Amino acid sequence: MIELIHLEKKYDLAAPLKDVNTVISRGDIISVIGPSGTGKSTLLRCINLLEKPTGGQILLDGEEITAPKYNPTKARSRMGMVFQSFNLFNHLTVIENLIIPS
Amino acid sequence: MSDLYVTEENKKAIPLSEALFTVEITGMVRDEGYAAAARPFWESVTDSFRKTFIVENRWQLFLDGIGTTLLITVLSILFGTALGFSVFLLCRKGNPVANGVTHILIRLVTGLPTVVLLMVLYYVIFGGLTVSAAVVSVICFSLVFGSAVCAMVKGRVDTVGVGQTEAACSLGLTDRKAFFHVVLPQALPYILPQYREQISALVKATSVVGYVAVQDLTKMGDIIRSRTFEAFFPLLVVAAVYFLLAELLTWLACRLEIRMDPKRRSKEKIMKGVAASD
Repeated sequence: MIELIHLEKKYDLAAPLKDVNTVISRGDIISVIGPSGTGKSTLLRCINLLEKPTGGQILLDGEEITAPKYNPTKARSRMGMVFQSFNLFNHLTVIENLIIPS
Repeated sequence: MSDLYVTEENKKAIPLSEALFTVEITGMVRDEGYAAAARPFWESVTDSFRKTFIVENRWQLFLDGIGTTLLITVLSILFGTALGFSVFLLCRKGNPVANGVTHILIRLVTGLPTVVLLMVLYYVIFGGLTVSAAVVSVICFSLVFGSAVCAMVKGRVDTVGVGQTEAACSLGLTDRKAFFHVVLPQALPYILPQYREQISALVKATSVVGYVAVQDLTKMGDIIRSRTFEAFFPLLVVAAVYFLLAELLTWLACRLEIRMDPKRRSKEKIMKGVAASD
């Protein structure tokens, strides 16, 4: 279960995420829809901790992954993420691309 | 030893004893009408060859010189690679001030002519200590090679897209693992050809160590030349040996390049890694 509580991400010139609250339960299939530049990717990157949220909390199964001392690797190893540009590892074979986290 | 003149300025700089004996300097001017006695070509070649290599076992001087050049080059490659790569790793997540200082030092090393850097190290920085000139040469060329290694690793690693690091991290790899398993293997095939070029450049650059009285290949050639007044064979041999040394080391680096290319791994090796991760 992923919970977002008052999630906020601000840049110097823009604030794509303002007070985002949601609960995503096991088995949910969610689409995030919006025009270009409205923060869809930023939201996903925040949940994966590739971007550091500037405010609010993210809970993964009740554990706060936005806590200052939380190790991002721990949360990421339990999430799968497909990037817009895929980012396949060119130097590895298909099977290695599939198993690399192990 | 070169000439030492007893002047007022010299007396202030070093304590000189009373002059024990003096040497007269003689100047010679060639007679314009003189022509060397004509000798058969073949005879002059064999005579020159004999003087350059056989007399006083002078070929041993060449061997000593090759050994010294090779030793300085190989040690500088090893230390320089370790140094350059360590500095790169430390700077990767280093603080901006330390990185700035390192950057300036690297600029200094690459910005000075190697022979000037060598003399600064030998006469100024290690001037007060009894460090052998060969050691100072190795330090100098390790710094030069290390700077080059650091710059080329940084340059090539930066060209691997940030998305690769992000993708690796999002899969749960730590930052260190993402670098060593994903980013570096993709940069290496581009780093190694440059590395090869640097090795070839280094072999040639070491020819200036004679400036701090290290008897390397070039210096040995000079010594023999000054004894025999024959330039042909000493320079020919020196040139040929440098070429061959550069070719040899480049060839070794080439072998390394092929071994480290992730795309050339054998099927067995890939499957072994796959099986090991189960």
